[in-house]
Amino acid sequence: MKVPAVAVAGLADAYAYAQKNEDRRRPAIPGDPGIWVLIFGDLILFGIFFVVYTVARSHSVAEFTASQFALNRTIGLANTVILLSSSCFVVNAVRQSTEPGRTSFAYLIWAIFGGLAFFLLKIFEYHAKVHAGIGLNYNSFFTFYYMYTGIHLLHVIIGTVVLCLMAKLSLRTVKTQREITFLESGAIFWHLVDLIWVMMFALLYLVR
Amino acid sequence: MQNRIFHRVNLIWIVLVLATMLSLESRQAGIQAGTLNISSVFILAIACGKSWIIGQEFMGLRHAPTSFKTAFNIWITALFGLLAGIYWLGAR
Repeated sequence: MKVPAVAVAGLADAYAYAQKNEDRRRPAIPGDPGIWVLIFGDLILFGIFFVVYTVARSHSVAEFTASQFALNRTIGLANTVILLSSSCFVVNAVRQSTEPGRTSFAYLIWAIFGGLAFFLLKIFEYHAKVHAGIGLNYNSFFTFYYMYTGIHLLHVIIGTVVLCLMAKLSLRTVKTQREITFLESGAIFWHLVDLIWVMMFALLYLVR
Repeated sequence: MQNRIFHRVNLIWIVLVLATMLSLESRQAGIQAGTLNISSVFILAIACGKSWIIGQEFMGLRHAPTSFKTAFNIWITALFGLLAGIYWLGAR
């Protein structure tokens, strides 16, 4: 009796899926090991940025507190919820992309919308500040504000481009291990963007 | 199994959004009660807690080798210690 090719492919998919689930029980780093060098490098760099900001703040508390009033906390809050939601979509996308026969395209499109919404809100915020005469050299607080949020915005732009590549890749019904690793690595980078913003929102917008 | 994971991720999202709201409420409560220093350190603790959850649950460090988990935990603990310490000394 000849076994249909579809059944063989289905069994191979099921075996690969079971193998992946078995592998999940063992400690393993998701994504490419190289991405973790970038992640920990960025964490150290932003950690230093946050410490430098807090030290500068402790020397001019009155100036920093007064300047903080000019920030739009509603936009800051909206951007936080947008990035958290976008991260959640990406987790679900990666989870689905490792299952045979399922696509994560819709989740990734929502995540991309999140990145674009964050970008647009930030540009709107910058525009409102510049229009009010508050530029990069207005005072120390705003120098920190533009520098830190600008570097973070660059991460958002890179992350959104990576999400677009991930969405294109997710349309393939059969993915190689290398492609799954790319999806996981891109997702980890996007979560880093989220993590850094969570700290930045607290420091720049909330801590007085 | 997949449904359980799906619900877990969404539950974590709800916790993170609620923690964000708690930060805002804490700031407001600090302004009203005149305890800004305490509320600011609390906000920093919430932010570090949220970052830890993102690392563990979203980035997948929960399933990572101990060395990765330890490095991340050291980073988050040191960051909170430094930020809260410098803030507290500056506020005195």
